Amino acid sequence: MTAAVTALLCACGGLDNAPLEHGDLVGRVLRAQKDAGRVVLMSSQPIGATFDDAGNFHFSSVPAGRYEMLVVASDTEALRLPVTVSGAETTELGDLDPLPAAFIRINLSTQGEVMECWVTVHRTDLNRVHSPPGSYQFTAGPLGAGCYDTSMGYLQRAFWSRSNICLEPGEQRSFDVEW
Amino acid sequence: MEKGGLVRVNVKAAALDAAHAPRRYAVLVGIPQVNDPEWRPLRYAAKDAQDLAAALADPGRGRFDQVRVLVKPEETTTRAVLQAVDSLAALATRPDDQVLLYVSAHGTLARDDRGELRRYLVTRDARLRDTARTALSVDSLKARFDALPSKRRVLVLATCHSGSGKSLLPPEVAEELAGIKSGFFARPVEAVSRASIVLSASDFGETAREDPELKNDIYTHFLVEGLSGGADRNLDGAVVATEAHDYARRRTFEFTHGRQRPSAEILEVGADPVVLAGAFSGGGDAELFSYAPRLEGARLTVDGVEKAELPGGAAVRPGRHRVQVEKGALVLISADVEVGRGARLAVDSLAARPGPSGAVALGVGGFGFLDRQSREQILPTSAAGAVSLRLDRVPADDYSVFADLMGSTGRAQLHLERVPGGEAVDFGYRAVLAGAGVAHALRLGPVAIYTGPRVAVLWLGRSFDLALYQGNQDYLTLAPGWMAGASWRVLGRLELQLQVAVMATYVRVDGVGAVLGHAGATAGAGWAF
Repeated sequence: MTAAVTALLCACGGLDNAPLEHGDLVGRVLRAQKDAGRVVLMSSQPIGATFDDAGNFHFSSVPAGRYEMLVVASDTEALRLPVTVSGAETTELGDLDPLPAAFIRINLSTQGEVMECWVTVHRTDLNRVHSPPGSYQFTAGPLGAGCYDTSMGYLQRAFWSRSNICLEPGEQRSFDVEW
Repeated sequence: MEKGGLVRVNVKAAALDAAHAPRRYAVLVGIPQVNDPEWRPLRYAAKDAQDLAAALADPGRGRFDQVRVLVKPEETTTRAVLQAVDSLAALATRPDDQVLLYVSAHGTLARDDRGELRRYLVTRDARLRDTARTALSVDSLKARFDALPSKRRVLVLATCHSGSGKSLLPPEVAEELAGIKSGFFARPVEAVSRASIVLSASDFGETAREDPELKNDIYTHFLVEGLSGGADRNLDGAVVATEAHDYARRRTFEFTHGRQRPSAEILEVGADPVVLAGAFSGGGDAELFSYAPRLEGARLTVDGVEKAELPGGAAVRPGRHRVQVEKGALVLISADVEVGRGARLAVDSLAARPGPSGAVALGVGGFGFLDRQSREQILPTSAAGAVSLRLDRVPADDYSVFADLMGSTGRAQLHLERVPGGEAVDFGYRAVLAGAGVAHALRLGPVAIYTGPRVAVLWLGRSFDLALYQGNQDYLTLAPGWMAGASWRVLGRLELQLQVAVMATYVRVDGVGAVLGHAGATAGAGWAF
């Protein structure tokens, strides 16, 4: 039926919205450390970018829309801010001034194998963070002030999770987990 | 050996013309006295017939070949009058022979055997208590009259049927009619007349009067006066029946201060007018006239100047004229006509011509996709300017053909589905919708309603000037659909229009095609031609 109608109707040319659905995002992070810092557009599939020597970052052709952006300037400073990427446009954020970083610490009490345990902060690039060798303490960060969902697991299975952990600048939030 | 041949004969042309000239006969009936004393005598009925007969027989005026006056008691019975009409059949045997029948008498109304209210002429032997059986039915008189071989017939009824003046109604009819304020409901006999001119001294339900000062029935007096030449409004030398009636009608109306309004009904009168007096001189002005009942009370204007109130007529100089018939604010007829010297044109015949054959119009409106998603991602609803052309009565009387062009340009914003919460994308657009259709038309006077199928071509152009994308996108597609519209002739040739159309449009976005609903609407003003 659709084919018949289509055949009946003449159509020439075409309309293309695809070029309008991606955009660029640029900015500069003050006091950024090139080796330690990064910028992440938070989503279920986070998109990351790094700095140049001057702290500039550039996201190229990312899907247009609204994001939460996590800026990790250094081991001690970070920032969370909402950004909107406009279609077919370059969105300029200007200079971003990071704040003292926040951290999530999880102390694990277990009789199992700690080496295979991990911590994930969802929608960020902190995925399956392991503890230092011999340690039972997991540290997720640096993080910008904001709210996060976190889970802890062993191999492929999560055995602990906590939603909506809202952190202040410079805050270190600790959780004790027995497994 | 020849089996045929022509034989030369010597006949003078004048003699030949005389032998073939149309003959003119008149029967004039005056019934001043009725046997039944219930009807009071009429003072001038006999004189009316005799005066008109004198005018018709006068070699300087009517020049009728035979004029017969019936005023004696034995000549004015129902039977005698019908026999006189029948006798005309033996005389006026050719279609172009001319016959005039005149009756000056009492008139009345009565119910016939089927209970229908009918008009009767009060003959000498009519009885008030048995009118339907004894008086002369106007219907039967008309039937006899219409059966004559002549196609140029004039029936003049110097009578009335209102119950006053030259009328007396049976008591039961008078009582029945007393409660009716809007006029009588019996069908006028003129409505069934064919190939005849019927002139009445009064309109149906009005009073015809005799006047002691004029010493005649008022209408008859002015009819005779008009035959002396005063009624020849187009100065062609001949007083035709319509001219004579219009003259008598106008003068009667003035004389009675509007209380008596003579009427006329003319059906199937050909190019040959019925001459009552004089003869065509081969020149004269042209005549514009109408006696159509539906135009009664309308104004006849020629070249913007009011010439007459209908029924009636007016003389105009030969040439091209703009003729309009208006009733109140409505223009019933509007036509440009070319009339020659001595021409006679029934303006009601112009209504049968195709009137304004269409209209061109300018309008404003808008168009857009019916679904929200397409309005957000292809083109928002847009204001548009439009020009349209309509041809009426094409391909048939009840149809019109449309063509229109709608254009729009401007800037708008897209809200893309795959950019949740994203900012709108600004762009420029140009859209042209060119459509054509055939619509069934329902015409109700100055208002017409149209509906029918339509097909359009939609061209859509989008231009983007963004940091990461600059370019133009063009799309052309066919859009079949349906339209409905209305037009209203508000003043002269000024016409207001309204039109809506709904179409199916095949649109391809990002390589994916879909059939989408699309609609447009315009309102405008136009010039009818």
